[in-house]
Amino acid sequence: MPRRPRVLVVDDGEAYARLLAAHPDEFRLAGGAGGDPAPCLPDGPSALAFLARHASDVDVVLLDIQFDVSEERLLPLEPGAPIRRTKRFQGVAIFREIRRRHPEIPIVLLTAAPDLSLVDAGGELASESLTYFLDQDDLDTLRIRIHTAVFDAALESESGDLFWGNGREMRALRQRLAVLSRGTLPILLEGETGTGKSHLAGRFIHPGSGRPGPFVTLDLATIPGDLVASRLFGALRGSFTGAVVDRPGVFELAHRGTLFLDEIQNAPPDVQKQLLVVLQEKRIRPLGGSRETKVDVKVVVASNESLEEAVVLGRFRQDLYMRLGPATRVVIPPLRSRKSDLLPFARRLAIRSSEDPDNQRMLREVAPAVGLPEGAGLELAIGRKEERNNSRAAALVLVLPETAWRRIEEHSWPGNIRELEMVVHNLVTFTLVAASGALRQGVRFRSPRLQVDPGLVGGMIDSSRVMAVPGGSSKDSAGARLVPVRVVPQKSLSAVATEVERQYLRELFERSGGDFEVMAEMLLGDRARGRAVRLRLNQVGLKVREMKRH
Amino acid sequence: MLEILSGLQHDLGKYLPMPFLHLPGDSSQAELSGALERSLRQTRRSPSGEAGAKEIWEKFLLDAAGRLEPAAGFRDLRRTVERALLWERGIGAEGGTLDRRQIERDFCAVSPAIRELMKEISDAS
Repeated sequence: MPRRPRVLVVDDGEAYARLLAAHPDEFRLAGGAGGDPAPCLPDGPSALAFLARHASDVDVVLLDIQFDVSEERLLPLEPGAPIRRTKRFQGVAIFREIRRRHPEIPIVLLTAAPDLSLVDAGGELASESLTYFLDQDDLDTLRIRIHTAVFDAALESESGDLFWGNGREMRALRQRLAVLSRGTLPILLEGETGTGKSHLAGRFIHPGSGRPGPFVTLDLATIPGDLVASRLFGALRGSFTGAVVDRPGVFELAHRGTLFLDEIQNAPPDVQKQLLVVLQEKRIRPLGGSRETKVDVKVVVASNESLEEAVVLGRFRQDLYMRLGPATRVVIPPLRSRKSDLLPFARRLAIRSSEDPDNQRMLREVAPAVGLPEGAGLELAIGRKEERNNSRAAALVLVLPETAWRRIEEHSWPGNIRELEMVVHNLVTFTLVAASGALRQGVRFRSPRLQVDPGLVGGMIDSSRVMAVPGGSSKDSAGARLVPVRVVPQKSLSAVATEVERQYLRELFERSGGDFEVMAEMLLGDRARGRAVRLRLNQVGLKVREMKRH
Repeated sequence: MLEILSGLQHDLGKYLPMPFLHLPGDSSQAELSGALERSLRQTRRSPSGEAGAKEIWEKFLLDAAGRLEPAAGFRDLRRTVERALLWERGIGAEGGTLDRRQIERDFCAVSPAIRELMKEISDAS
């Protein structure tokens, strides 16, 4: 990370540039010509022209929102937008263009979130750095924002065996988790099954906490309800049938370390109450014991459903939920909303899969037969063009045809990263098995590139379609989707029906990631009728823009 | 209306206090007077020209064309802006002492007042 970030100010006035120029030990201003001490670029075209030539000289762009410039210097904002509005929100148009052409450059917007809602850009810019001068202290805020944006951009998408991806949402999540890890309060992780909650807890939160004790994990979904308390808090010999020795609980085992409680929503009601007391008092009393023991444990809990919803439905104690810090809960996005991360994920998973002992054995067999050195690795490429351009010399390349890759991109990945891992692992194994079998039958290859059977991809994705209900919603025996609704008295039965429908549609909207085609398929069995679904949402008073923002 | 207010926030709320942000703590009276002039008379400088705080405010009143009169927040905003504009007297004044903290308080109060009015209008719509 640069010690003195090079800041490009894009603003039609020089006020911000002058502010930053007053801190020469902290910032360098880009875009200057002729020794201007406070250079800034006054409009979108000049900023884009500068970046086209000097993008590598810019660490961060500081961008104003309103530009009072002549009409011919304005970038289009939205079709039919009047000039006044285009000027008022010109920064958003410039932002979009810089982001499209130079996605690697962080941008700090000089505006506040409420302003962006006026131009329907609130959701689009939700994970961007925003700042606004409201009083004197906000100069410090601006300085912090600039440094944070530069620091974020310098973060590698990979760290250790964790892959964070390239999206800004995941960068923001990483930053947040890094802060939460260091504190003593519990961390609440929410995310669909397979999104990597336990991986994050063990590989990121615990190491980041700096705690010297061990990382201990307990999956509450795998333990019979009547044994949960003893596994959590320990049990003395004779405290229940089968307790033949004193057994410590996970709280004790995780002393001075981190305790990860997976699927916390499955905790029985009496255990929830006990957990609340332990989190408050930091003391445990084993089953059958009379003495309390002090424990120092960083607690991380995870749930694959919304705990808030479980509270509303009366399945989870509100006081425990509040104790878990819902304000700082971390929601890990599903894979289907991280499409840009699919390819790097698949590549990493292919490499990891090649390290599996069985696949290693076959790789050692196939690689020398195609002229690769001993110890050659394996990599995944999409399509023949990429295969030629990017492949490393000492690796066996598995080439996935573009049509097969498109199927992967279009799949909704209800099992998330875990499902992708299985698919990629199977692709690698099947391809290596086929190659190894052919070799044994005397077939000789010349190229270190093997094409993956596209039919394999389709078959595996089709087999998982049965569970491809976005959001992992459950179904009853007749296959109908189960969605919890909260019924409260209304003025009329018609109002009750509308409210129930509203809740139902809102839930489906969330589970489908706001995709009307998916909703149409769920509701009408026809993806082409998304427009009818959208219309219905409007009719029952659901505002799509607001729901997207949330 | 919200867009017009958002424009006022940008041109007046944001830029009015800015010249004082990078003044050293021990600025002289002449420097304070200079900052006051930049705040009030060169509030918004862009390639289209220069506009002072009073001009920005009067243009806003024209654009709003009386539509804000019923809003309680508008009365507060008007008081706040008029108090800030009174500092015009301090530009180039000789012999007096400019109270920097009071100027900053008055100028920094404009932005929250605009935001309050925006909230009131947004809630009402």
